Amino acid sequence: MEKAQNTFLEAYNNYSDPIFRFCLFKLSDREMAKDFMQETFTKTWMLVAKKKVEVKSLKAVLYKIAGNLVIDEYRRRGRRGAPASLDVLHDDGFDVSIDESGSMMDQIDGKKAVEMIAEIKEPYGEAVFLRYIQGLELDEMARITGASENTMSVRVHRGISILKEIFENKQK
Amino acid sequence: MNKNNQNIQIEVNEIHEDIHELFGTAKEISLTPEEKRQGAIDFHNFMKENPNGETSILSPYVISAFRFVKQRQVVMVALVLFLILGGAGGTVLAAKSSLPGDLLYTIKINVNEKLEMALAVDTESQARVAVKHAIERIEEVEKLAMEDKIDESNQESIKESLALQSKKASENILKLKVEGNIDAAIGISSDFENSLSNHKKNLEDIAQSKKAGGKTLLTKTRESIHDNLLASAKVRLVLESNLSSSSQILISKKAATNELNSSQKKLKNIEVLVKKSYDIDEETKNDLRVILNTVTESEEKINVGAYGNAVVLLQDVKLNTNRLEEKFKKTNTYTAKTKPSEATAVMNTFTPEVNSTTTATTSVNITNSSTATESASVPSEPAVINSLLR
Repeated sequence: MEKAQNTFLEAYNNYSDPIFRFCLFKLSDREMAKDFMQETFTKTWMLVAKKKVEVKSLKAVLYKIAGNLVIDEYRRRGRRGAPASLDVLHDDGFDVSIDESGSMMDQIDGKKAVEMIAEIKEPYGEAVFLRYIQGLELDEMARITGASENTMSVRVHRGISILKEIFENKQK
Repeated sequence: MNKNNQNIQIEVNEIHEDIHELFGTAKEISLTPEEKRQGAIDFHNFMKENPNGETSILSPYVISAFRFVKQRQVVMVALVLFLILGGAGGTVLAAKSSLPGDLLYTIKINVNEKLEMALAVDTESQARVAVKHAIERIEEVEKLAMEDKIDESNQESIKESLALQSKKASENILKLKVEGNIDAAIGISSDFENSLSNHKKNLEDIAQSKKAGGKTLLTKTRESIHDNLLASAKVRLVLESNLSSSSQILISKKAATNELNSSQKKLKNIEVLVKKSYDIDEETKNDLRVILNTVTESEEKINVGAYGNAVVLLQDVKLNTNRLEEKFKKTNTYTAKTKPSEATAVMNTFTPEVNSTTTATTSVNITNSSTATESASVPSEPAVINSLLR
C-alpha cells in the first residue's frame, strides 16, 4: 500500500498543476479549481484503493475524473457542457480587454490566456487546450474524451483555425 | 509521429507567433509552491487515513477495538471523578495549580499528569501530552520567577526537571517517527519549538525586571530553556531529513531560496555581532567556518535542483546561527559594560585586512543589503567574517 501511496504522491507532484489548470480552464474560478484538483486526486485514490478501476494510465484517469467533476458542477449550475463564456466572466467582473496601444501579448497574463482559449467554442476549445496547454498526445486525449484519435485531430485543427480568427479580430 | 500529429504540427507552425506566446503564457498557470506542498500533505494524510478506499464503514475489528478504548476511557474518567468528588478529589484539584516546592506538587506530577498521560490513547496524543507537560514545567518557572521564588537551592532541581520533561517530549515525538507518522511528529515538534522560543522570550522579559542576583539565576534558567530549544530543533531536523523522497520533491526552488535568504539574514546578524566583539575564540571561528561552508553547500544543492537537501542543510545553518548569536550576545553584554575600547580596537584590526582577495566563503551573498554609510565607516560584513577566518 505504501508503494501505491508513493506512486500517487509522485502523480500529485507531476499532475496537480496540469489538473488544476484544466479545472481552472473549465470553471474560471481559482479556488474552486484548487478544490476540484484536490478532489480529483482523493476520488482517484478511493477508486484505485478499492480496486474499482484497473489503471493503465493514471494521468488519463485523473483527467477523466476531473472532467466528470466539472460536468457534475455544470449540471449543478444548470448549464451543460460549455465552460464559462467571456460574457459570463465579464458579468463576474473578469476583464480581458486589450489595450490597443501596446503589443497584445503584453496585456495578457496566464489566466487571461486560458480565458482566450476558452472563447473557442466546444468541443474545439477543449481539444486545443488539452493539446497545447496540457501537452497531451492525441491518443491520451482520445482516452480522456472517449472520442477517436482522428476526431481529436480534426477538433484540434478546427480549434486552431477558430483561435486564429479570434486573435485576428482582436488585433483589428 | 503519426499522420494526425504531423498535420497538427504543420498547422501549429503556421500559427501566428502571438498565439504561440499565448499558449506559453497559459502554461504558466500553476499552484503556488505552498498550495502544492500543503495539498500534497493533505492528500498524503487522506491516503493514510483511507488505505482501502473506505471512509465511513469501519471493520468489526476496528469497532471492537474502539469499544475497548472507550471502556478504558470510561474507567479512567470514573477514576478521575471519584478522586475529584471523593475525599482525595479536592487535593487532586488543588494540586493542579501547585508549583515546585509546594506540598501538593508531588501529587500534580505523580497523580494528575500520570493520569492525563494514561488517558492519551495513541502515540500522537501521548506526544502532545508530553509536550504540554514540558511547557507546564516552563510556565511554573515563570510563575516562580514572578514571585521571586527561584534561588540557589531550587535552581538545579528546576533545570533538571525542565530537561527531563523536554527529553520525555522529544522521546514521544521520536516514537511517532518510528511509527511512520512523520507529519504529526514534525507538527508537534514545531509547536514545541515555537512554544519554547516564546517562553524563553517571556523569561528574558521577566529577568529584565529583576535585580542583579535574581537576573543571574533567571539567565541560567533561560539558558536551560535554550538548550531544550536546541535539542527540540535537532529532533525536528532529524524528522525533516526523514521525510520521504516524494515529499522532498515537492519542496520547490522558491521554498529553498527563501530558506537561503533567511539564513543569509541570520548571517548578517552574526556579522554585526562579530564587528562588536573583541574576543573571538577558535571554537567560534570554527563554528563560523562550518556555517559558511554549509550555506555554500546548500547553494550548490539549489543549483543542481536538490531543493529538499538544501532546505535540510539550511535548517542546520539556522540552528547553528541561533546558537552562535546567543553566544555572541552574552559576550557582547560583558564587552559593552567592561571593555568597550578593546572591542573597538579588535574591530579596527579587521579594517586593514579588507582587500579584494576573497575566499571561497565569499560566494555566499551576504552583503547585498549593506548600506553605503556602513561600508564607508566600517568594513563590510563579509570582510569582517572573512578577515576573521583567514
